[in-house]
Amino acid sequence: MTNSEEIIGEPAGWKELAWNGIRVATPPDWEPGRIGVRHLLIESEAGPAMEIKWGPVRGRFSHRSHFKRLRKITAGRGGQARECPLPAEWRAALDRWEPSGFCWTAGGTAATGAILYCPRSRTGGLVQFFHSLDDSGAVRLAAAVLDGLRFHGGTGPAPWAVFDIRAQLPGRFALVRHRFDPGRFVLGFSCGRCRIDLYRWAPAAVLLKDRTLVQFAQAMEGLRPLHFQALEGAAPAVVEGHSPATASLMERFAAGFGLRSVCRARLWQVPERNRILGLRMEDRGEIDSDVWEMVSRTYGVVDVKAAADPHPSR
Amino acid sequence: MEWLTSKRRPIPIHRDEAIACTPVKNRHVRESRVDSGEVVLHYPVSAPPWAARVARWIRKDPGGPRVGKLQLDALGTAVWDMIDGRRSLREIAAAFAESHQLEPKEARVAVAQFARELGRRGLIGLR
Repeated sequence: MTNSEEIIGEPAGWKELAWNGIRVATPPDWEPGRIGVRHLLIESEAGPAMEIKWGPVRGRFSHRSHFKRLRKITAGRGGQARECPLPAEWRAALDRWEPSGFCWTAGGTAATGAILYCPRSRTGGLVQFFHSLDDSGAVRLAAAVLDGLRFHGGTGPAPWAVFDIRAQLPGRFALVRHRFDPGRFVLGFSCGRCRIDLYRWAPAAVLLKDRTLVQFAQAMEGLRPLHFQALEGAAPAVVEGHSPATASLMERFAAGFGLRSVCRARLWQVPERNRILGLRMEDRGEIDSDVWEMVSRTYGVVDVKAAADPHPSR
Repeated sequence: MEWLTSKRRPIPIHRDEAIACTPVKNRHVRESRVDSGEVVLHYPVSAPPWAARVARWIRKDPGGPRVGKLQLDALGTAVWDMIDGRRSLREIAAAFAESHQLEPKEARVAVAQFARELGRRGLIGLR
């Protein structure tokens, strides 16, 4: 599917959502309600508004078999899915992805959607928009959302944008864990033996009320074994932690052969957004400084230009 | 054969319905504040039925109602202070999100979880 850096024609004030290979702009009152590895359920004030699932396709892609599966799922929920022509407003946005339209109704709820396939990136997907039976504007709104839908082609850095956090990682890093608890978000990625964890805590003013950022970092799970130090002259506060130095001869021997994991972490405060952001990277042998720089430079929160600004680069 | 029939559990209210409810403080809950300004809630705790039965069996006076204590953290205190019997959980979550610059969804989940915890202990009711 197309690999585009910019979402063109996105209405002002819409929110960007970039997650594991897809990128979409949604109306301001839509929020992710359920987040899976390759699944997003986006909700509005009224309830579920949009659902999208996607994944790589290995063999031949069959719209028919995907529709059959969809029909089975909707039947289980008391709905009846049927194939129907794609709404005219959607054609311009979806024509590049061999779409086939469907719709279903269950009680007072209806959904209109499309099964998509991009032969170029060999990605299959299903997108559907939920609306009430008499809501004629839903299809037009969906057209605007679909207009901004992009699939990451796998080349270049992959954007990540969910809730208020934004980051870019090399495309080879795969999402291995994610957790969005109130006040604490964690995204974990891996590529071979290299692991990257992104943290976001809030509200910083409360979390740092009676402790320093160093004390906070050393109390956090996953960061405890590291020795943190505040970077001098950094305002707002930035702390960095590294794995303890090798002590025994065997440890030094293992480190020399890349058999020992090394870890580096950085936490910084974003006072204007009342957040603490954290980046932890672990690898065998040594940390890839290019990846470290790229992630620490791009990781930030909305309305903050870049995470690099509030903290000095190394 | 009543003992064979399973007890009917109350139907849990859906999250969306719960967030529209107005929390009301239990009037038997007494609150005090520690030096840092955080609230400590003192609430009556009744002994579990089995403990009362055991106490009766060994003919020991189970004593008066015990008092449980719950110290809220700064965020819990902020939400507790917003419970005035007029504002709904949704309105509290919106005010909480604004005062702490949280994402609206994040604040709603945090307030809902907090309200559920308070409700479980009988410190608040929803209407």
